[in-house]
Amino acid sequence: MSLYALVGALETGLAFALVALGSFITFRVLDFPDLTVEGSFPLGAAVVAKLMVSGVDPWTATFAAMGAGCLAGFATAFLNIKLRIMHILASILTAIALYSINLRIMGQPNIGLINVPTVYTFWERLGIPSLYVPVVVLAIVVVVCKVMVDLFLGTGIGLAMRAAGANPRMAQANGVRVNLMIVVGLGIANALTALSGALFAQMLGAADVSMGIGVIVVALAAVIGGTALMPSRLIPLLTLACVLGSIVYRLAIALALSSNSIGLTASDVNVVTAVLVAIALYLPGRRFSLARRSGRAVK
Amino acid sequence: MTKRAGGFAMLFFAGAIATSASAQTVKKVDIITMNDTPQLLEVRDGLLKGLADHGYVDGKNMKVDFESAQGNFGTAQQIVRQFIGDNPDLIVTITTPTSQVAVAATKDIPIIFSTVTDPIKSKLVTSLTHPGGNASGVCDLVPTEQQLNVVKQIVPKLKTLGVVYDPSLDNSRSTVDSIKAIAPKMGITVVESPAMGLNNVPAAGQNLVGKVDAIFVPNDTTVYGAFETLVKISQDAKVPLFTAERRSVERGAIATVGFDFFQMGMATADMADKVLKGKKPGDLDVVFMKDLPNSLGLYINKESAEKIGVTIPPELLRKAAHVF
Repeated sequence: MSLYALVGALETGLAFALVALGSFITFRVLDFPDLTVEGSFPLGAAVVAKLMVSGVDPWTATFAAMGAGCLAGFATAFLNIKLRIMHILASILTAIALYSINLRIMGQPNIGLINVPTVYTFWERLGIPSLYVPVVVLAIVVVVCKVMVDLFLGTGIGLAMRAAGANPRMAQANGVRVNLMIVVGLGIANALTALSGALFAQMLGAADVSMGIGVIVVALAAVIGGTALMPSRLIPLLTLACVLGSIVYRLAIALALSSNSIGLTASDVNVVTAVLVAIALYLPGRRFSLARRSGRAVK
Repeated sequence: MTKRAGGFAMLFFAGAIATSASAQTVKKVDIITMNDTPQLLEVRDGLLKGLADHGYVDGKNMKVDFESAQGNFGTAQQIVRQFIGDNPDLIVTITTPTSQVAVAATKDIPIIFSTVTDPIKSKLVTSLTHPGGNASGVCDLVPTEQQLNVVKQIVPKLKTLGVVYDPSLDNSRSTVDSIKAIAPKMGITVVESPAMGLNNVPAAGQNLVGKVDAIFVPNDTTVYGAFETLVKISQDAKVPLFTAERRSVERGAIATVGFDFFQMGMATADMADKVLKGKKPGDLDVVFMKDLPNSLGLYINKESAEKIGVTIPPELLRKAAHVF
């Protein structure tokens, strides 16, 4: 694998790590399968691109994108809580609606972002070689977001959210406003996803309305794969597992791409994903039984 | 003994020079496409045939690496990074999104794009002539005025024209906008029938039956994927169907004034050849397929026309490059 391929894996891994963090909050903490990400990821890209080509500075545009993502999360929460639509269906409805909304926001299916000042150009001017800039910026953003999520899940609201996800009836009986937890959780998760979309589009050089296709698979591969390979009950380790899961997934793809001798091409990505997640789910079970056997060895 | 050693040394050096010389003349060409739908693969096939015609043989003096991002932008980014690490002599990008990713990722490696409709709008180049920079390429902008003229000649009572297309494809969007701009001048109203995805194509087609005098399909890979269903709807409901490229006429549309994707691939190969021989893409004007001599031909499918009950004016049949 060349240095460039490695950098490519790191930067896309870090970009999607934010979606993995968001999906961790919804799928794992809240126990709410949230497929809104297929819509909120390109929503972030759409908002940031439209604002940037209209002259707004990239930082403000990126924050606006996060706000839009948050609203998308609220929409799913509304469908689920007020209209009593099942969680997975509510999220799919929002994602479908967002496809048309994103087209409306951009006015066209694709907005080019080449030669437009992005959040990365600022760092390039500081002298960091342009190849590494996205990795550096994304690493900083991911670390900050991860730490904020870890801290949040330890606060009063955070613990209430964890309780709501673990046992909603019990939590409700103890005074936790479960519905509010769903709203807050979905808002945060989709804000993170939209942030990911915004940063990814600026790195890619374009925002395209079909960018969201396949995002949920990538996020789940990272969350399930990461947490299966690095099981823990501690939140900071679990979020770390999600981030690493995203990066490892991209490294696996980079390996598949660079090993022309094995005959794997980018078209095999889906199979690679399935195999990876399967291995990740199978391995912990095996390790556990091995440990048990050695632990119980009587001498 | 020294003579033998000297002889071996000479052989060794000759061999080294020979291998290094042949290593120098192996051109590395990396090709990336966003999807591998049949039309886009035709572009690649045309490209490879064109390169072969120019004397490049894969395995001998050229090494080709072809990757499809399978519609996934993350994968596209990784493929492009991978290509850059390869340090190829040329990157060929098929479709607008991959071209954008490549142009954003490198300012040094020459890029020739293909199957792009509007390179300025997509921010690939800042000028169509002598674009400067490291990118230039071949565009598939549809000659909409000529297309509508042909439609009007075959359907003289044309008042309303329906358009079936995938609104998420930039190329299609541009063509539809172009049609909407010239249609009023020809006294035609345009009815859009968007199909977001292959499965919605039949419904989008049926939606137009009874409302329009003819249907037009731009160069839309989604719709072409389900083209046979549109042909069936067109023949059952007796609505004339027109398209922007040739193979779809063979498949059942009535007519087109168009090029085809294989030809576009060959035109891309011509530009690629210039770059491989040392020219910079920035010095090469952007090429539009519709402006190339011999690329636009009138193609008519008489059988289809008869099934729908439309008579083709004899002067068109005479002018046609090919009648199916």
